Amino acid sequence: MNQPLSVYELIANASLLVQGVMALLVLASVVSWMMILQRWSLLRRAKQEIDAFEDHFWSGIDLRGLYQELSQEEQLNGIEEIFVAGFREYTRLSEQPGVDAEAIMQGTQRAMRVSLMREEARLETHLPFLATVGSTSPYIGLFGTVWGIMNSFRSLANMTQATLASVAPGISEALIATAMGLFAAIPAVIGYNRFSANVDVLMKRYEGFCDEVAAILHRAAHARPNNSEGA
Amino acid sequence: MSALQSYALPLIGAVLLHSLVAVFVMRGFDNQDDIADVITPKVVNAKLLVMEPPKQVSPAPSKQPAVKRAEPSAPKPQPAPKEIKPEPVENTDAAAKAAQAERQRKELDAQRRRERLAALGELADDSLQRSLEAEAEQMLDAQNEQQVRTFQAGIYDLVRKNWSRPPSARNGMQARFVVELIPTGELLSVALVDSSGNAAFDRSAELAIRRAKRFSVPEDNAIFEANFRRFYFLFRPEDLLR
Repeated sequence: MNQPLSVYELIANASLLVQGVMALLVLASVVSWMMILQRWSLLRRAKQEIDAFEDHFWSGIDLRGLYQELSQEEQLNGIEEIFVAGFREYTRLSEQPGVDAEAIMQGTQRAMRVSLMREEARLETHLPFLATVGSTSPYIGLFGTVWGIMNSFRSLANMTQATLASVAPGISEALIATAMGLFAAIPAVIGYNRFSANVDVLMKRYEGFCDEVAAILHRAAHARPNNSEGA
Repeated sequence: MSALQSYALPLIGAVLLHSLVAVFVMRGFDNQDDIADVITPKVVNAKLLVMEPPKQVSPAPSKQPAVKRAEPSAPKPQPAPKEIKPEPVENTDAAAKAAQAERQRKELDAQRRRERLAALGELADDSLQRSLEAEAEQMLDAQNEQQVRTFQAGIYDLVRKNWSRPPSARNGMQARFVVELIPTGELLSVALVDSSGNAAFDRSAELAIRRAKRFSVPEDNAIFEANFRRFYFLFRPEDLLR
């Protein structure tokens, strides 16, 4: 009677539904932590890549040379992909005769926008999952708790002498579900907020980079027709 | 493939983290339990302190016997707990008597050894045993008291449920009955000790006890004899508004 309850006993003695809720929450927690770790390493890598690429880009390297260097690489990371897509479109359009500078710029910007969108989608994968876990798992845990407490009170109704000792284990057992729900939700919410802020920052940098490339190519495109007309 | 690979490491990390948390939680609870376990003897120790003065006085006069005691005590502690243990488990008069008889026998056995000991050492031994017994008794008393209170609450509830107060009942009235039970919990007799002055009130109270017929009482005979063989029941309508 005086023997203290262990967590394991509490979980093992819980009703099937509460155990199911607990299993669901543990699974949600494991998966969301997996997402968090994966997102964390991916976003960190993306930031390092953009830092490195911008350094390289502004080191005064010739854009055509950079393009040729990059197009030989097999795997391109996000920002390289954007640059390569834009520059490829630019060279293709400018090689065609009778395309004016505005059309070249429009095509180039469209190509860069497409790969920008693709990159954004890549960075944001799984973030909705974290948001879902963060917002629903407290409710799932609460459901398990309410169910457990309901049952423990129902069994109390059959007793002639109600003591605290006869309800306490049931409530303690039921509260584990809420604890698990919160345990799953808190990191997911923090992860979601942090990562969506990180993605926003990265996207701003990508967009800024896109505009810079477009400005350079715009200058080149407007310089070209004069030359071609003159020649 | 690379996408799958990029998830393998996070998955291992997540599973590792969760198992770590699980182990930590289990351990954390166990540690708390350990603390709870430690606290219980501490309470007993605090009670023991009250019993200690004689023990402290006896070794005080000279330190040498106390030191001597420490050496022959090495074989002694084995019989000492043996005597104490049966008491809380059986907690009947018979067991207590048996334990006492055994203790007396043991004392006779120990007589030869004691002859070698100084008289002060003997005193210290006695006081140690006495304090151990007192400790065991106190633990037993606390257990019994709780049991008694539980059964009293049960009887109180049963009678209250059966009691229909007459309209003439007023605040401040009180009727005291003496109730006798047999060990199975059945009612043997009810008798009015102090009347409330209102015959209807007295009658309703007596009827409430008689209606209950059978009460749940502890199975332990000693506790029954001490608390439930014969007890007083006081009726007092305190919750009336007027």
